[in-house]
Parts: sequence; C-alpha cells; structure tokens
Amino acid sequence: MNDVMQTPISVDLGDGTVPIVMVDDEQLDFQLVKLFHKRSCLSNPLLHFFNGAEFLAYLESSKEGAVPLPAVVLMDINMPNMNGFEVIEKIRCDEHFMSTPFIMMLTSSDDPRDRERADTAGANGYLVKPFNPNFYLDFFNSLVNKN
Amino acid sequence: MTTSSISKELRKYRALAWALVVTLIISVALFIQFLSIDRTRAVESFSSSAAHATTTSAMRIAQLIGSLGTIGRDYLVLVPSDAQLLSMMDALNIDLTLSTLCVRDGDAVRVIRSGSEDKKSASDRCAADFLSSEAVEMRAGLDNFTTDLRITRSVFGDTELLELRVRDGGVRELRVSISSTVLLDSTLLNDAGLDIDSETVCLSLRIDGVFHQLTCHVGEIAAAVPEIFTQIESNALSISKEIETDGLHWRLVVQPHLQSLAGAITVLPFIMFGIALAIGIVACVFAYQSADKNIRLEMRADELRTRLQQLEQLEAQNSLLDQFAAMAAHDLQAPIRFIVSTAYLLIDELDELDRPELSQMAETQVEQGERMRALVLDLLEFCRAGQSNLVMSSVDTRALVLEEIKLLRAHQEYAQTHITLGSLPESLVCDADKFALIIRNLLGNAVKFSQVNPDPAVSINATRETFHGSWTFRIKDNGPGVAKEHHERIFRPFARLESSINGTGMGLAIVKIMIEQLGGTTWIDPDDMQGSSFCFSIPSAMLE
Repeated sequence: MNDVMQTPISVDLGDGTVPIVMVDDEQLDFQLVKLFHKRSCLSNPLLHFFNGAEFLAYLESSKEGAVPLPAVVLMDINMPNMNGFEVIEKIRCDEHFMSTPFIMMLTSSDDPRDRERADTAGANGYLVKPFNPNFYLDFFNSLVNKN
Repeated sequence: MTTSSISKELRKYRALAWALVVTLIISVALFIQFLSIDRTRAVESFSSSAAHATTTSAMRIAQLIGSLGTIGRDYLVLVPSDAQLLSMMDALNIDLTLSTLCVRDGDAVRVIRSGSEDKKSASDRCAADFLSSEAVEMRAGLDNFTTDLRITRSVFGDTELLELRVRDGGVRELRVSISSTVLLDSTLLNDAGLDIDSETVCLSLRIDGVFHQLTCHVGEIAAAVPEIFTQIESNALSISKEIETDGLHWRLVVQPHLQSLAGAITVLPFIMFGIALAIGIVACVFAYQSADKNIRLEMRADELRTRLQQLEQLEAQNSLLDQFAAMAAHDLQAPIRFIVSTAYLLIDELDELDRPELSQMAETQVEQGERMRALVLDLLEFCRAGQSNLVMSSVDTRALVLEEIKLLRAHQEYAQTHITLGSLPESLVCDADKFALIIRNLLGNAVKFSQVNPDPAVSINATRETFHGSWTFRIKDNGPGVAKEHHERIFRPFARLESSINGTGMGLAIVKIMIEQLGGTTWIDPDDMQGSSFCFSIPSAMLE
C-alpha cells in the first residue's frame, strides 16, 4: 500500500519558503492535510488549488519567477473538468516541468490500474488517502531536503 | 388470447376451407372429364357399330319395305283373311315353318298356325301375349335380331294400326292386330288426296335395342314422331341414310338409345373422382397442419421477441444497477474516510482530556468506520467481479500461489502457520488476476481460521480425473470447520457464521462469482470433517 514511510522522499525544500501544493476539489481533505502539516516540522507553506486549471495557471506564472516552483505537489485523481492524470500529463508536456515539480498522486482509489496510469502520466509516487490522518504527519516528516 | 392470435387461428381454417374447395373443384372436374370421355367412347363404339348395323339394317329394311310396298298395293282389303296373312308373311320373307301365328281380331284371338305346339296351348299363349305389354326381347349377337314392326297410319284423325312382331330364334309369332285394315301405301294415300305433309305416316323399326325410325314421305322430310317412339331424341349422334324402294324414298335415321349409352358408362370417372378426393383430403390435412405449425412458430417467435425485449430491458436495468452499486460504493468511501479521520483526531484530543469513556466512543467510531469501509470495498469488489471481462492466459498457478503465500507471510500473526503445497498445474488457461484473487481469498480464510488450532496448518493442491478434464483445487485447513448445514449458505453475500472472526461476509461470494465466470464450481468437501476443505474446479480451456 503506502511504502513511503520506509523510504524518505528527497525533494528540493529550498530555504523553507518553497510551497507544498495540494490540488484537490474536496475541502475537507485539504483541512486534514493542513492540520497535520501544521503539526509537522516543515516550515514550507501549504497551498491549495481546487482544480487543475488553477494550478496550471500558477505554474505558468512560476516560469517567469513571479511565484516559486512548489517542492511537492499532492494531486488528487477525481476532479471535475480535468482529472489528476490529465493535469500531470499537461504539466509533464511542458519542457520546464518535465522532471520537476515532484508530484505525488494522493487519491482514495487503490486500483492498480490507477497506479499504472499515474506512473505513465508522469507522477513520482502514489499515495492512498488514509483513514488515520496521522499518516499525513508521517508523510510530511519524511520529506528530506535534498539540498 | 389476443386478437392477433385469434386471427392467426382463423387462418388455419381458411387455409383448410380453400384446400377443400380446390379439392372438390378438381374432383368434380375430373369426374365430368372422364364421364365425357366415357360418353365419347360409347358414342364412338356406337358409331362404329351403328354404321355397320345401319348398313345391314338398311338392306333388310329395304327388302322389307319393298315387300310392304307390294303388299300395300296388292291388299286393299282391311280385313285380311288368314290366307291373306300367310301369303303376306311369305311376301315378307319370314320363315314360318316352325312359327305359331296368332291373330287378334278386335277382342278375339285366333291361331292361324300352331307350328310345333298344340293348338290349345298356342291359343292360350297367344291370348296371354296379346294382353301383356312386354317389350320385345333383345338378344345378344349381331346375327340374331328382333324386329318389331309397327305400321301406323292416321287418316283424317283416326289411327289405324297394323302391328307386326317377328320374334327371331326358334319361335316365330306373328301378331296382327288390325282395327281397320287398310295397309300402308303412300301411293294410295296420294291418290286418296291426302296431304302428306300434314299427315303423319311413319314406319319405325327397333332392331337390336336400337330404334330405327323410318320417316316416310314423298319428296320432303316430315318431322312428326309417333308417340311410342318419343324416346328417340334428335341429337348429333344420329346417323341417317337414304333408301329408295319401288319409287318410295325413305330416310333411315338411326339414333342411339339412351339406355345403351347409359350402359356404356364405366366406373372410371368414379374412380378418378375418388382418387382426386382422397389426394385432396390428404392435401387439406397437410395444409391445415402446416398452417397450424406456421402459426405456432409465429406465435413462438412473438413470444421469444417479447422475451428478448424483456431480457434486454433486464440487462439494461442490471448494468444500471451494477453501475449504480459501483458508483455508490465509490462515493461512499469519501464520507466514510472523513468520519474515521475525524474520529482519529477526536481520539487524540480526548486522550489529552483524560476522558476514557469519550475516547472509547471515538474508538468505536473508528472501528465501525473501518468496518463500513471494508464492506464498501467488498461491495465494489463484488460489483467488479460481476463484470466478466476475462483476460485468458497460461497461468503458472504454483508461482501464483507462492506469491500469495509470501504476501500472507508479511502478516506477523501468520508467520508460524504451516503451508504445504501439493501438485499445482503450471500452465492453466484462465484469467490470472481473478485466479489470484480467488487464491488470496481462500488462502487468507484458511490461514485465518486455522489460527484457532495451536498448530495451524494449511495445504493446497490440485488434481484432475482425466488428462484433459477440469482441475480440482483443494485448500484445506485444520481450523474449526464449517457445519454441514452452512455449506450452501456460506457462499452467499453477507453470509457470516461467526461474528468473532472479522470479515464482511463478501469474500466467499466474490470467490464463487469469479470461479463461475471461469466456468467452474465451488464447494466444501462434505467428507472432510477435520477442519475445512474448500474446493473449486477450473475447466481445462484451450488458448485461442
């Protein structure tokens, strides 16, 4: 299931100002994540986007340097208009974003086909939304600054 | 019955009626046809023999009439004496050597010659004969013929009659009845100033059952027919011949007697009618039956069509239900997750408050939430299992089982369980994913339930009866076993026998569906009462 606890994730956390982004249409999921993000030892801010379009717009402006590139992106699958896979595909298509940012699929589905699809689309990992939200704490604490 | 089915039934009877009508028409037509053939044949045979008969008759009649002409001229006396009569017979060339001659004069009958009989019996016979009105006997054979000569003359409305009957073949009789005794002589009549055209002067002969009507006149053809000869009809079958005797012109008209024609009708028309009718009836029965069968087939087709429609509707509904169930199961997951997540948060907070009873409540929420989630996941699984998209391939079941065992061993509590593998096919054609799920479920169950036993042991093996028969897999555990009365129930959805053991009750139902999709069956071995033996069969399929 979630083997992320075993292996730490090394991402570019920068000087602690680089944001962590969550793209999810479900407000409550974000609330849970936000709660545990607060409790974690991360200083990076947490940003929320309700849909892929908004996030893509953010990424566009990050090209010019107006806004910072996120360290980690938590991407939900089931969203209206554009689902998570499509968003990732769009992101990876852009030459600027072919290997960064680090995108984790965060979804309620544990269907192996979705895992495969995430991998093909260009996600770096796959997490299933937990019942025990303490998991989020473990996740945030497992992020290691690769710098 | 619906109106359409009633009208269909009526078609049967219509078909039958039509067939019957056609049969009757054909039969009657055949009958008439063969009747006319018979008639034609009779007429032809009559014609051929009539021609012959006419010629011979004509000769004899010519002689007779010649003789009559002589008689007529010679004998003007109305009451001929016996001697006169005898000489008349001579003139007529009638052999009288053996004949009995009787004469009726008014009411008296006297015998002129008795021939070979004695006078008394001859006299009695004559009397009897004169009184009876029998027809002249017809004899077979062309040489013997009977002549019935009747001469009628009507003068000024009175009728005089000379009747001459000559019976051939042994006994000859001459019966003469004379009321007035003027003999026929057309010359005489002319001299008497009679208008031939308006008078009826006829001579008729019946020879061999055939009427010969001699219509005599001088110059023209008269048309009147005496009463006794009204049976003769003028029709196209008559043959006429002109004869001349002693200055008298005669026209001999020969017509077939109806009775002789009637006798010529054979039984053939009736036979043809019978045959046609029989064939027709068979055809009717056939038509009726085939119409019946057609109707039955049509009604069956209608039935099947409605059934098909119903089935399609049901299928649509079913797939809708499946979709609905899947969607429901999917959409339920988020709220369940939130409930459980917030419950976890509550636990943390309440722990700090040191209110164990409240913490307990929150923990119950988590437990039940987890349970709900398991149920929803199983429901989803069940729905997915119901979809039969099989991806067939050659599966190494041994490797697959080993993989599942490895996954199971990851759980600490199962690390000590003995699991033994028997023979397992290494190239079974089936859907690998589904097979894996089946093994996972059954193996998981076996291991879980065997924990009750202090020395838990599970074994898996596969056997088959014939070289190409189905494989029977057996997963045995030494757990508590399943009571016989539950062997059926256990495979139904939501069936749970012991609440102490965790589970949603869907696992075995899912297993059963998947096995059935693979074409096999699943059961618990009733003979193995030490623990449980879950068995399932997979048919040997060929990879296409």
